[in-house]
Amino acid sequence: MLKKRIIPVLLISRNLLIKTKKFISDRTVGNVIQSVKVFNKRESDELTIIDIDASRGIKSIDIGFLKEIIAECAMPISAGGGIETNAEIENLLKIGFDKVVINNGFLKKPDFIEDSVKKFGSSSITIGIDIVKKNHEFELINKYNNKHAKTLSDWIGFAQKKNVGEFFITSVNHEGMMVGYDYELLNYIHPLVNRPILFNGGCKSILDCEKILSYQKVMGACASSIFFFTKLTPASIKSKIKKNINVRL
Amino acid sequence: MLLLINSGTSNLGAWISILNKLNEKFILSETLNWDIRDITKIIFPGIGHFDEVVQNISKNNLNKKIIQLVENKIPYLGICVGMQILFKKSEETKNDSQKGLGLIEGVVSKISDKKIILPHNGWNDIEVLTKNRLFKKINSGTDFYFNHTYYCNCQNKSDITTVLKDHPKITSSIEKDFIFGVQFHPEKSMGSGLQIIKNFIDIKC
Repeated sequence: MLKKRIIPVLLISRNLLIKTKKFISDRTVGNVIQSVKVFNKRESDELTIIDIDASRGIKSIDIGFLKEIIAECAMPISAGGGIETNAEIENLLKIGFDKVVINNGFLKKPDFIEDSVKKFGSSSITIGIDIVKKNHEFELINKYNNKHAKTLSDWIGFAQKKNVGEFFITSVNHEGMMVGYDYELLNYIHPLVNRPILFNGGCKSILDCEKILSYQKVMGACASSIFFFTKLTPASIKSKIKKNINVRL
Repeated sequence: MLLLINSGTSNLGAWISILNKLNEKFILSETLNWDIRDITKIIFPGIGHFDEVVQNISKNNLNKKIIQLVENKIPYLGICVGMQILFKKSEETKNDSQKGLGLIEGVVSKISDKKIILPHNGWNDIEVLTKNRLFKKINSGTDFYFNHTYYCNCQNKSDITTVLKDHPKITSSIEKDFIFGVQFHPEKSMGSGLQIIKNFIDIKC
């Protein structure tokens, strides 16, 4: 049976491992390469690395530094951050990544979904969607005037029509706050998405991971702060939730 | 020497790193003027759309060289789309003129099991159907890392060596003569994956 995953999300800025709160207030939490080594040694199910300087459009994704990171890694690993071309995807896969997470790149150029899937297959193309709650409604944090993204549900529908792979969903309001996952958001999008959901933002405890992974389509509980500010590890979480959730030990 | 195929869309670096750690000498397929007589093994890494991979290996007649090597009984290990490319046709294809190598009978089909949310991505356990060289020291119930939407629907069931334990229709590996294919990614499956790679390297032709 397919196992549900605990996925550490590592944010990098200026080659440092950082943590944000609601996408701002960067705080350095450590050394990226050291951290990847530890997650690799502990046989995490998967890792996601986001170059947030590239996400913020300050620079393009740093292939050279990511190559140094991936040399320490023998597990499944995804990369994200400002990816806007097939050439960037090709370079990331070529240095050993298995999947890419694309967010603003798709919003800015909706045809890019189809172009990337046509070349790399949908399994390697994950769409990242950052969602905020404004005036009691969930919406994309940026839309880039995309006519297919007038509403969140339009954008999810469009991406699925274009055959994208997994959905990496982040609740901006909960990101870095360690207040628990945003179940209100998950309850809203779960019926709309017919792909595996990797849910991110707010994870605070073992129980929280268990609760989020009990949703049928949530295949990955993504987390960051708990791995830097508490003693929890992906393995310790999984050993506690294995009774009720099918995980890989 | 081992020939490592660069299909243009694969996670090639992961393979380079593993082969270096295992001290296994290899040559990349895009290297100029490699001699077909020097090749003792072939690894075809995964990731990529079937059509794109077919198109990329048609350049410089790489596809014909692979067929020739396999016909000379040079052991071949295909991963994910590197396994699917052994078949002539895939349901992923948008263009009927794009044909795979046609070395295994059957068709690459889209997973239709309603219980699997596509893409089938993550760790899943396999059932070993027949004892075989590639799965030496690997038992049924071992987890491997999968990431795919299509699977190899073999015409000859005797080509199938392992399947997904809970979804026996979905082939997880095949073997025919010296041709091996795995749907999962051994290069990302840590200890058990490494064992598969070592087993392949140990196969004598």
